[in-house]
Amino acid sequence: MLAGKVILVTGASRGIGRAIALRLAREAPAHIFVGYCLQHDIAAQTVAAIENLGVPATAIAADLGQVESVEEMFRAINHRCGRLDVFISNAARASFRPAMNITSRTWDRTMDLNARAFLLGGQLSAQLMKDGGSIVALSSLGSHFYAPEYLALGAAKAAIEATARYLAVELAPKKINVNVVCGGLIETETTQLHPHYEELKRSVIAKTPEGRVGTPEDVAGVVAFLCSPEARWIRGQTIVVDGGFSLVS
Amino acid sequence: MIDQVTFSPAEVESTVVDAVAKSLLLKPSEIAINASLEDAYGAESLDMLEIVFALEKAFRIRLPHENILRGAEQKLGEGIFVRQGILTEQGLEILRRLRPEIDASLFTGTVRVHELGRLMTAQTFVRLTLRLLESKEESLGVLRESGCSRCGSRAIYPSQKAAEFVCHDCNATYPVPNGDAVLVEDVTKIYRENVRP
Repeated sequence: MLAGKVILVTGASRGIGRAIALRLAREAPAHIFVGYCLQHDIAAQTVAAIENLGVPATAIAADLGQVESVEEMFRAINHRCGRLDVFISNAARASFRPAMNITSRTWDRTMDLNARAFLLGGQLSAQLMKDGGSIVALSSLGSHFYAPEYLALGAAKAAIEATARYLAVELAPKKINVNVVCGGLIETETTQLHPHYEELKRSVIAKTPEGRVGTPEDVAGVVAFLCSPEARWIRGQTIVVDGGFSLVS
Repeated sequence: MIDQVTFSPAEVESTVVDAVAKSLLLKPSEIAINASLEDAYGAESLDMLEIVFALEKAFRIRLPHENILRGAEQKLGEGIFVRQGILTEQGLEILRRLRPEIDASLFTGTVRVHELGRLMTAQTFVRLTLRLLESKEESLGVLRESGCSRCGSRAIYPSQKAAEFVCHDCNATYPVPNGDAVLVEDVTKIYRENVRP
């Protein structure tokens, strides 16, 4: 499916990003870039896991909130491989505060780290996708439903979903497919750090038809499909991956 | 090949203040070196991550990212420094010794782990950076003494692009010391020499 392709997954040192990188590694790409910010050793472990699957991989650090850092990351990819075929915009970072406590700086920073990072990454990816490609962004239910203290990131995710629609239309002539995967509650090391995680988890399980929370692999499988030729007629869509939670609650 | 590993405290302070100011959208002259970044400037976790990234890139070091006291407890025994989210007297003593840039009176009484973030100052970053640069220089010395594990050469230099050392003769690379490991070792040493009952 992705044989010979060059792939970048941001936020891939652990959690959903790592699961996506490992899932895509099963399709025999030429190279996977494991994007991360500060978790050097953990990113190196993900690289090792990918290479154990027989796929060359490189950990590549970037501060997605800084334009020059993002540009430097894509220059490094171009220098190493001369191309990019798949860009997975998974990294996310935010401050979680009630709406009335969000400062201008927090808003700007969250938008830069998430929404602007996706747009910029999409633009730079498109320049390297010489034979077409796939761009998939990760979103969450907070983009169109209320979640406590989630305004800044929820708004950024909504911007990502809108951006994907525009990119999908404008990049179609270049045979670049753009879509979004919107996850419900996915159990990762990061989500488990939420101060009320167990309570949240119980609440979600009670409202999910299958009676569990999602796993990173649940998301990774859908991302892999959207990168495949079978998904070529799906354009600019946000695919909700939540086990049916949003239908019921 | 540039051999610089160490920087003067003044160089480090200047770079730290610039990084802090840039992250907080302030002028360097507006940053008080000993002010709580959270209390004085509204800094939050996003800012701290940006500052750490900038400093790691500027100095090609690996700053600590994890909870150092918890890391030390994995070596010394759980509950020595933190119990139910509150610092023990031994934990407080460790911090009084480890963080001389902070008023020691702030490490007395009931101090919760989640409150420690408020005690981050620009000076804290200066101290951490100087410590990691010191560790980097020590590590380079050890590498040069033992020689490259691949070719035996002692022509090993700090990379100018990444947080690693490079063998000039065969391009083998070696990572710089991990900040978490360095600080955990420092805590362990302080505990064994000064704090252990």
